[in-house]
Amino acid sequence: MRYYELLYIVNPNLEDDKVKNIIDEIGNEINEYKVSIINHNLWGKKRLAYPIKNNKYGTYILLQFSAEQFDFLKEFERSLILKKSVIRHQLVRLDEEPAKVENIELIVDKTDSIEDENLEMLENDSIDNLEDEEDADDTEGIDETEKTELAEKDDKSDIGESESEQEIKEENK
Amino acid sequence: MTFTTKKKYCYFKENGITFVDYKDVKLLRRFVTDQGKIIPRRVTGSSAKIHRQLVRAIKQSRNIALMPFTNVSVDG
Repeated sequence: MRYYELLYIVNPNLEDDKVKNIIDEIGNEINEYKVSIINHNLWGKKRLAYPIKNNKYGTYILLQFSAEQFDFLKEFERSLILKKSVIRHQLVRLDEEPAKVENIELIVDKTDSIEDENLEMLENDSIDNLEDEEDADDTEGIDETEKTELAEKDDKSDIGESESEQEIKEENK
Repeated sequence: MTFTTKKKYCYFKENGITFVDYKDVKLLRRFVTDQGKIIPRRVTGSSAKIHRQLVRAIKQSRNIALMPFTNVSVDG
């Protein structure tokens, strides 16, 4: 009997339902190998220490399980690599049996998790305005003029309008 | 002229920690410079056994993007 811990990062742009699907998918997949799952918790969106595949944020999910046989792990890890929504994963063997965690807040550092404002921005952002996201993240380096620009952008419901406006402003500069 | 050096002590021994977890970023930050480099054992004073675990934990933590490989910010 060995205990394992898998921490994997899922693409942050996915909706909550899709993330749940992935959790179920991986849970079912590992269940086929006669494995008993101890914990399968969603940590939530966190800022990555460095960008992975151009993602600044990531949804962390922790899976702890015990296994009798170990030869399936290679196969299982390969299937994780092939999943496009899983950006990064790390499988670690534990020396002792991990405790069952019901309250996820115990592990997740509150200071590290993203504030609600940033989360909203993440959901609104598409690949087209990645630069805008970078501006929004680095709140310290933003000039007052840029701040007003951002505020205006938020007010505008139509994205096309605000973009064209910004282009004009850049030309003026 | 006398030199008085602050007594070094093992943080883990003081606090009774026997296992270093790679997910505990708050703890690992203490053993890393601002740039993200691992601080040598002769500076932190941690025991050899713990330091080996610590190095491993920090490297695992970096791999899963909980900690940075480097924090050097490049302008421009």
